[in-house]
Amino acid sequence: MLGGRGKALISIGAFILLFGFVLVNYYLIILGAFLILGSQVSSPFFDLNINIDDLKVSRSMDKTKIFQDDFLHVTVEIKNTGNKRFDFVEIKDVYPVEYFNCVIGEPVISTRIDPKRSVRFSYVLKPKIRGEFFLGPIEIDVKDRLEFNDEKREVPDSYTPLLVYPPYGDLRKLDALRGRSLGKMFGAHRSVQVGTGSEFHGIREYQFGDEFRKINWKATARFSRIMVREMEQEKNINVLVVIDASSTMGAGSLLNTKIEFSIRAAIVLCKVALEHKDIFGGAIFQNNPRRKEDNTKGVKILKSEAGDQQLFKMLDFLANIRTLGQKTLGLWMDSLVKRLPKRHLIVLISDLETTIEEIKAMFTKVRARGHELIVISPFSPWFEVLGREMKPAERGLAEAISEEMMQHILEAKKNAQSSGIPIISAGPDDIIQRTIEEYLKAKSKGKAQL
Amino acid sequence: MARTFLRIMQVATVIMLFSALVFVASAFETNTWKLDSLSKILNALKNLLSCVFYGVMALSSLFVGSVFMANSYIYHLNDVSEVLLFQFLNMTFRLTDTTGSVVTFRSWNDMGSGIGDLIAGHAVEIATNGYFLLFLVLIILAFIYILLFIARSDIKYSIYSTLSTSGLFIVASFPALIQRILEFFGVPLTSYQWIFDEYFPGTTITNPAMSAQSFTAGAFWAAFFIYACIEMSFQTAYTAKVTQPSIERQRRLEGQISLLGEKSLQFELEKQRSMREQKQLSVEGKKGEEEEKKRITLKSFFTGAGIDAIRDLIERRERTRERERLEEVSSDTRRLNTYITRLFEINVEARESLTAIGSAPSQKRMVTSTFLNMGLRLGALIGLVVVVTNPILLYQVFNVPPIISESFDITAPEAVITALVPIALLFPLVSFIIRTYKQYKLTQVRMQKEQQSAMLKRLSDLREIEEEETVIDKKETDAAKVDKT
Repeated sequence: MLGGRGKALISIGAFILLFGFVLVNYYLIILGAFLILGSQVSSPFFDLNINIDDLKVSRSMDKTKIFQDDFLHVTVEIKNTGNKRFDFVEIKDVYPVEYFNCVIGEPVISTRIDPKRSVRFSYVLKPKIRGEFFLGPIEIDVKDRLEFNDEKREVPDSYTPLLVYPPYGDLRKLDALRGRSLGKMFGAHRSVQVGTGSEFHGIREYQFGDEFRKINWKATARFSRIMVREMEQEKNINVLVVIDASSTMGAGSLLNTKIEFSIRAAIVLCKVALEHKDIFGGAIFQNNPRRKEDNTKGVKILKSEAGDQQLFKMLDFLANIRTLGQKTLGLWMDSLVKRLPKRHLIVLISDLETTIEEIKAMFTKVRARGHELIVISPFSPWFEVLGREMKPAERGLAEAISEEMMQHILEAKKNAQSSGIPIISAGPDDIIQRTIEEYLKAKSKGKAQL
Repeated sequence: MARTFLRIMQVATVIMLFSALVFVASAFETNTWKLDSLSKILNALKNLLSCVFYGVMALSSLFVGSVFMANSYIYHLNDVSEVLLFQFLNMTFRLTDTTGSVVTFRSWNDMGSGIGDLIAGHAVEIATNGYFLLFLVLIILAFIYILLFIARSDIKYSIYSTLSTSGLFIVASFPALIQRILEFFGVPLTSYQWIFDEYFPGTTITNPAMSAQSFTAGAFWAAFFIYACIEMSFQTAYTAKVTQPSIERQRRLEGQISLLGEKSLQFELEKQRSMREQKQLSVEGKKGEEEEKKRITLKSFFTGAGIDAIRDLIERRERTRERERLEEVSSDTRRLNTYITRLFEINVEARESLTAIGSAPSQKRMVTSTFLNMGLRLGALIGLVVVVTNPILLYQVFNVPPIISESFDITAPEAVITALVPIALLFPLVSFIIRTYKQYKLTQVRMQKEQQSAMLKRLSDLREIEEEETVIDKKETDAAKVDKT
């Protein structure tokens, strides 16, 4: 088909030809004829020779699941399986630019492919955010040498799924800081149960009912009183990290939403729980308006388990959350606690942007089933203004909204106090740290022991 | 080699333009090329402005004089003042006519009758020379654009160059067009012929007759070389587009990788240095700092130094954030460097695919195909244009009846249309037929494939059912055997 350049040349030719007729100028008439015929003459040969189906294009990636802060090497190979040469081929591998950065290489190539030859190009992508994405499609534009004729096509089935996990950087930092500031969290906050177990706790005086085999004869001889050995064992707890994935959690700029920080905090919390050999799982609160008959009542659960594999399951579980729908905290919590077979320490990360009655209902449901709840509340204004240059009017508006939000959170905190539930407001700088601190505090108090 | 070939093509494009200009220039009368037209325009402009200022000064003095008319003493000196005024103006302004002779005015009447003609003469001088200057401007533009094309390999410049060259003919044909229009409206030729003879002499183009001899005429070759210049520039742009990206891509990537390595090393060194500095800070020093902070905070309640302390805190926080950002960037750079290094170790083809060096086509084949393609195209085009400009050949081949072929003047330019339109439409028509046929074949192949896959699916389903039935039969047989035993 005649391409943009061919059409342009015909227009110029017609224009010159017209002038030639009007001015009775044979130079212009002949030039016009040259231009019009020159842009047309090769089109039958182009259509006869070019068979775009002879080009076999494939995309390969070095991995299909990556962390947000990792890199992905994408290779595109084009093979001319036919017997004719492609004079000019432009191949573009489309990727969602709003979610990926091309850090090395280029996803496009212009080349010429001889028969039975192949061409390969590659580029390196870095995801901006976590989620489930599709790379593609691959677009082919075949032209003749002079670009008078062209044929465009999208390679069928050229989409490749890619799962991007939340960033591993936080976990890496956690590992690096072990033994330093954050490292204080490791090992110093054991939740112990004295009396049973195999680790030595101390020596105390014999009391009625103590087993005779626990008597420490050396200590008895030294103190001239009957002394017994006391043993202890560390108690594990059941932690369930719950993320509110309603629409309000996705407000703000793409990279600084509350949900992104919440997921990062959740992953770090799971890592810390794993280090403490606790049993941990996850849950997502979300009402999907498309799914009218939702048997799960908007609650998706990843059952609590221990072990390294659980962390990867958790990563998978949290990787493709998208914020959606209204917030129904009371109903969600009711559905969640009914499905939990054992006592849990529930760490809920929610902005609490709902009515106080709803929040109260949620507390009642949790307490009624004997679970422990910690609410980490990302304070919306701090997230939504992060990295934004604001005008004075916008700043004033932001301050007013902050004031209102603060009042709302204070009221929620007042209600939570009566139920003994802590609500912790956090910003982008400290949400991860506050989440871990609260978890360790709860653990040291022996909350939700197995 | 690619670069050399590109240079050869660019030089060939310039040669084509020169050849075209040689033929174009030969079509004009020699007195069309007035190299002094610019200086004449500037001179006429200067004289025109002098005349205007002269007139304005004279009129303003007349206005000032009329204000003092009531004074009888001044009134009686009017003649004297007129002589003095014009003497002063003649000394201040040097007025010349179009031939260059100096013109002076001595009275109001003198000025009133002479200045209008002087201004009109200069205006006509500007218009006439402006017209001739246009030819020179168009030629210069054609050169500038072709040089820009060589520098930037952008075909739009070669098109502009072609349009500038064609513009010469369009500009040259305008006086003839105006004459035709006037003739059409019945204005007698004698009433306006003198204007063209006097002001636009020698702009008529040597227009060859549109006949079978046109193949040997300058018009044909001028048009051919202009077109060949475009064709050549397109071929040059193609060569650049196919060969340059891989070279540039390789250069860019090598640059990126080396920069990545340098920056990564730099960040690594900075990291080590900051770690050493942190270690050097003693615990006592830190305690001292904290005490100082507390002291300032307490003091702030009473002395008002709190503002400084708060400002200090904000600044420190900003610095921390900036440091964190830098750390993040440095960490990303180091990780990317590590990733690329590892990628090159694991995947030996990664460097080649990132630079896409394998995408560069074979130079020898490209040179051959370029010349072959261009030769064939230009040869075919010459043949087609000869046929189009001599439609009589076509009529003879197709035995067009005289009632049609003699219905119009075969030598008239419009006769070209009778051959150009069918030939120009023939190519898209053939192209359309080929495309439709290919589409039809493709649909057939796809349908066949779909049918085959459906048949295979049905077969596999049948086999599964058969296997299931065999398993059930076997189980039943086994059960029967067990029962028997």
